[in-house]
Amino acid sequence: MMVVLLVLPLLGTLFMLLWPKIAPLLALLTASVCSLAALQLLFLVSEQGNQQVLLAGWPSGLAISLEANSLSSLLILLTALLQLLVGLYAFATHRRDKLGAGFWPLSCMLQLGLTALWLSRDLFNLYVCLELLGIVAVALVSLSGDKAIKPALNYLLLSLFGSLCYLLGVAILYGAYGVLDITVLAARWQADLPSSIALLLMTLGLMLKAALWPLHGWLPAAHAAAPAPVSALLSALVVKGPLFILCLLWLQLAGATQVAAVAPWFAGCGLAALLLGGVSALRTPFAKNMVAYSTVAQLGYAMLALGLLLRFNQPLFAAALWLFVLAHALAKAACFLAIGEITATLGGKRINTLKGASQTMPLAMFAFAVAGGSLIGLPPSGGFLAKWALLQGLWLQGGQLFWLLAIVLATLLSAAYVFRAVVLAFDRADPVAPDFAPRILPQWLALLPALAVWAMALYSEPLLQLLKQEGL
Amino acid sequence: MSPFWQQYLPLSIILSSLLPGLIIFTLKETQVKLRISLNLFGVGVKLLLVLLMWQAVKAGQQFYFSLPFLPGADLVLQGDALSLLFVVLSSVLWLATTIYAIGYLEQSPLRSRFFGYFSLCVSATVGLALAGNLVTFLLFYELLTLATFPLVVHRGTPESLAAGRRYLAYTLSGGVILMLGVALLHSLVQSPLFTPGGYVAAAVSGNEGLLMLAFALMIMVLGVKAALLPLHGWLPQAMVAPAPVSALLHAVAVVKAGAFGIIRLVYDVFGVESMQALQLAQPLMLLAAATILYGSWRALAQQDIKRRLAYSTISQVSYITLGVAMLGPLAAVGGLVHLVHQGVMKITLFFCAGNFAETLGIHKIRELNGVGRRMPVTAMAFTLGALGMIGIPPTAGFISKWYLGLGAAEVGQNWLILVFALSGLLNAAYFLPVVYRMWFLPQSGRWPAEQRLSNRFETHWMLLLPAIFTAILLLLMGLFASTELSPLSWSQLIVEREFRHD
Amino acid sequence: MIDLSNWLWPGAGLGLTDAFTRPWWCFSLVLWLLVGAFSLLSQRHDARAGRYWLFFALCFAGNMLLIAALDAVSFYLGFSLMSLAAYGLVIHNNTAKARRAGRLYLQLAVLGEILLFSGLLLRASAAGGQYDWHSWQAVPLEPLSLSLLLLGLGLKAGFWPLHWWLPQAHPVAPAPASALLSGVMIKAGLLGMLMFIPATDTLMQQWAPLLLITGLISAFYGVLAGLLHTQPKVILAYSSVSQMGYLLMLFALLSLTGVAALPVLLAYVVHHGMAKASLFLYAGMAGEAAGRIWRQALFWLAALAMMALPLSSGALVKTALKAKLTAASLPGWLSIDVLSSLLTSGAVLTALLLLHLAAQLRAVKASAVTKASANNTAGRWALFTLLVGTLWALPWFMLQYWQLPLPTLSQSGALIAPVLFAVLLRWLWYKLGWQLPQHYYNRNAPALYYSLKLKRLYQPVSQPQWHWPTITLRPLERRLNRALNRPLVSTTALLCCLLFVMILLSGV
Repeated sequence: MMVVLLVLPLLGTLFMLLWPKIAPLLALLTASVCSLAALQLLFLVSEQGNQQVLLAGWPSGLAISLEANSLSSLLILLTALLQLLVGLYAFATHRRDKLGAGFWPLSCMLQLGLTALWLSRDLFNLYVCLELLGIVAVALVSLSGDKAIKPALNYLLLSLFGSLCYLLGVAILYGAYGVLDITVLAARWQADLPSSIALLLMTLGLMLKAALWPLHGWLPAAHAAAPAPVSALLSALVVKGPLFILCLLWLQLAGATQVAAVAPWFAGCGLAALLLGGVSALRTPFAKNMVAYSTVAQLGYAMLALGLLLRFNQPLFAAALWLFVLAHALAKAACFLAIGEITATLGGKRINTLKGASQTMPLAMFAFAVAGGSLIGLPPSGGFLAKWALLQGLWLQGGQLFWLLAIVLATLLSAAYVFRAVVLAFDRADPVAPDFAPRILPQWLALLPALAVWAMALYSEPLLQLLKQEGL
Repeated sequence: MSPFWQQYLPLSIILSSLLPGLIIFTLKETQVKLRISLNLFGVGVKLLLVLLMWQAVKAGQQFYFSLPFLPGADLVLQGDALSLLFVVLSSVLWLATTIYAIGYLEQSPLRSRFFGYFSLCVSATVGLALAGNLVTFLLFYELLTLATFPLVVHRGTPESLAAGRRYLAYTLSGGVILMLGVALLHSLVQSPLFTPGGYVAAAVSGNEGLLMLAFALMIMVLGVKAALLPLHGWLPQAMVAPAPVSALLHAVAVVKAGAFGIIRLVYDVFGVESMQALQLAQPLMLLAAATILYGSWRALAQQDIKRRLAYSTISQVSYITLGVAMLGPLAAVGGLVHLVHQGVMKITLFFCAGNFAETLGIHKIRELNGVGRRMPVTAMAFTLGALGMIGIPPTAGFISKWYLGLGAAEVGQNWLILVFALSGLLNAAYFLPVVYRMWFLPQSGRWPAEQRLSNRFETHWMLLLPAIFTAILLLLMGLFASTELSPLSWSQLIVEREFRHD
Repeated sequence: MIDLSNWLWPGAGLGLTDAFTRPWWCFSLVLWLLVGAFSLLSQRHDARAGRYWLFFALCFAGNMLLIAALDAVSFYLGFSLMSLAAYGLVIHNNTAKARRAGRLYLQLAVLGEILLFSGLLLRASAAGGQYDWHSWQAVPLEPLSLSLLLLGLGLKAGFWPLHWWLPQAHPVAPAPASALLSGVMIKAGLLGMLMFIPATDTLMQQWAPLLLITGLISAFYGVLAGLLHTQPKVILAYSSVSQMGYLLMLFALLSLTGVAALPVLLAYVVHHGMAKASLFLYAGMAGEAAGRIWRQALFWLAALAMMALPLSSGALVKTALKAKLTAASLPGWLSIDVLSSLLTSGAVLTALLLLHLAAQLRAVKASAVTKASANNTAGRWALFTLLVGTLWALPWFMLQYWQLPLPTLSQSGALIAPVLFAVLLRWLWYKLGWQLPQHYYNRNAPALYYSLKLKRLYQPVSQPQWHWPTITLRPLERRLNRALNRPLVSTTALLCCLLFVMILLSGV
């Protein structure tokens, strides 16, 4: 099953390059088949426990090994579904938005890279996935044309720098231990200086790629410059890849002293991201930049949860961390698609473009608001579940009033930027007239993930249980 | 009635307004008849279901419906006597407001959206009333905030947007803090069902500080919606909304949700004993008393009718809080019955204010001179509402003030009677001059913007009928307070059940 | 008795079960009907007749209800209905003066109601949730509730320190309305006292002498203030203040002598109601009496009854009052002799005031010219005659039902003497042309000034308001944005290195 999930996108890409005319069709087909396969995998994992595959029959240690636990299968499913959705959106709007033909194979490659990343448990394989992701992402950003050159270039340079850092760390570890498989490595782990340096180098590389504060500078420009479907993919999925590796490193590899030393840094960075990212999102005059800054801020939650998880070892924080990732992926996809659709129809990049959007494009605006509700953490959305887990964890830990207040403040900031846009949309005094008649289908597509993130609440109990146990 | 049926009754009460609301969103502006009939159908079904439930609850039955949600905190809908008080209030007033809104918005744009959110708002309110535990309460609380916001900014003018921003700033901050408080309480004692007598008593020793913190956090939030003193700022500004919305906001939905939450929190979460053990009642009482006087005092200087009514709401809703905070059975009866009475009286006043604005273009108090001759029925309804607010028998307001006063004497807080007296005087000072202008002063000049809305009546019958209905209702509730149907009897039933538990 | 507690508010009940409510009710009904019939004629050409009748009916209903009330809430309902509706009667003429007086009236009425409400609440609570005023009789009073009740009801009853609205509101209202206001409505305050303040209560017995003194002051004050006015209806209003003083004394005597004083009190109420109503009605149509001896004679009949001429109802009640006073067990510091001599001088003053009134009525008549049809006028005078007739038939009732003692000859002499003395005084005054400086007459009452002040207070144009200080962070933001505008890649790489060093140093 895992192999199918990897091979399909690869084949898809190949065929797309061969027959570019039917590329959209192929992309949708691949994504839908992958979704079914991912669902199958999820069932398999939940019934039979973790699955492991050694590629090409080589023995363990030599072969590329793939391992699927319930978290990774969930992430795979999410990836495939979002791919499908974004593909549909891109297909629905590709004539209007003049999306380059490169989008289809690239997005397929993206799926390949991500799926491989969720399944890999080997530092070098992970590096390869990371590199693939980085390159494809930059290529996708540059699809926007001239105006995206500079952000894409910045992205590329920093991504390469991050990869280098990561690679350096991997090299040091390989030199010290001679193995790169995480489980094996963890068994032999010694918390000495070289391994610390290696771990730190990898961490910084990953933080750079995941746009975790303070290394997030490239993200807003890049995500804002990209076409709407690309931004949705980037924000929803791509930044989560490095985060996943980061969690693997610190939860499975690092020694207790290392963990204790780095936890406050993570939590602090997360908090700073939440507050400063929130303020930036609130103040930026451009609509897509707002959503991009919101990604920076929301990644802060994950970082904060990771820091707290490392510090207190409370399973609720693990649940919070992954719930944030899942909820954010869905919500952000909806946000970008909705905002992209609105800005395209109303013709403008500024937030002021949204004036009167509740009247002219009610569905898209509704999608944005609903997704925003999850970003804020309004019940009963996925964001609420995550926040609830975080708050519960903090209250149960006792005496964590500072973090609680910080979270309240961050939530208020997110509410402020979401509703800044929503309030503008209700401005009936001076609405912006659409350039052409709004189209219904793309708006519904934007609404779907937003509804899905609220539907997460229906499965809250199994989700919480699952993610609490998983904790990687 | 089969048990299966009963289990879904609370849910279907919510759905009876939610589903029509959702369908209405999809309707076109021109499908007026379909929209109206959907709306009225929803109202009818809801009233019918509520009637069913009312009879069963009166016989001592409890309704319970749950969906799995968070670990240790399911989504629970529970129909007990207290929730039914609020459900009946919101359903009946929804009927009046729907008719009123149909008449009020007859020619304005975006009606589908308006009525959609309107139904959503009522569903959230009813959900709030039926919520069986704190997590469910939190959920509907936020839903209510979100559903009300589009109504507040419905006009889409800069003022209404500013009001909407302020409303959101207050209520969303409140929502976040509520989440914090609910999470704290959940971590201490989980979130079981609301039970008469509360459920925190077992955890009081050792957790005093945290419980007090939780109480303070939640009161702060509920205080935002109930417009307690330092948190009342949004309410006067939110009156820029269309009249039916203000009516709903002030009488049923938002403000009452806060007051209802305070009742739930004090009686069904903390319980009288824990409240006394933690000494939480006294500060709440002081706060409510200060709000009563402050709201009335500020109302004096307001020259805009709806603004004056808004400040009056601030003052009047705190009567409920005060009644609850006194922790005595008679005061509780007063507080509970005021929940209903204030709703009916305030909605009457807002209907009338809307009628004046819609028919004659009157917004300021000084423009009301001689309106009693031009619109006698509306002016009469306004007068009744105003007399009720002052607490003059035989209106409903008198009954609640009487019980609140008795309650204050019962728990030995005689100074509160002074508060009531002073507030009564202030109420008279800002309502009677308005009444005087309407009836005794001659019309000065032309009306600001007169419209001929009806050939037979003083204004459109759909605007007139709800005002008459609620005015008669408030008179009946005051006159026939002892009958079984009256809110007073129902409040006594609730209090009996609340205070009987030990 | 009608038990309505399962229908209306809890404890609601109506009925005339008491020695005093029954005659009170009958007397009020008679007066209302008579004056109502009178207003049918007098308000015939009134442009605002509808309004008049609306408020008339509401007042009527309220008054009847409060007398028949068996529970506090019903009483309060009737009381407030009557008080508020009377506002409509007060400002009926719609002149600036009427509106001013109405404002004062309403302010005090609302204040009184709130005080009464608080007092009733405390009583109901002390009685353990019983609203029936009969069951309150055994419940001891507290100083707070007693003073609240006295103030709240006293503001309606209008004796001395609480009389402000009477001289303002009575003159501006239409004559029949003033007649009712003074004749029955202000008595509602007294009735409330009878119901809610048990005479046998120890606290009340302690306070009774004070009330007695208050009544006495009120009796004198009313007359003296009335003498300084020249408008007939103002004089009558002040006379009411004075007469309410006597009633208050009787109420105090109720505590001091036991219930024996009750018949006297009732008789006094009826007597004053009838007499004052007659005088007010006459004051309203004094213009028509010019040169008609019979009509003037009717006035004199009423006035003489007020002056307590022997054989009149006044004579009966005054004598009985004096008798009760001497029988009362007064504290040591109150000398009976002083009191009874004060009562005698009070009688002189009352007579003097009525003579003053008669003089003023004669002065007014030239200006008042009404254009009513002959039938209308005749009808009104017929009703007036009926009223005066009832007034003079009262002594018989009093003897019959309340067994008031018939004044002996010496007592009659004591009654006539003050009247004669007053006539003499008046004659001397007239002859010698005694006159105070002009500016002492018809002074504006300070109450109106304070009423206006109060209005300004509760209808402020603006109020102090606290504004959030406005902080503009925009310049700071702009400066920050400029400062942070650096090459992205190198800055990020640098930050990366910096973080590396810092985290490493922090002890990983």
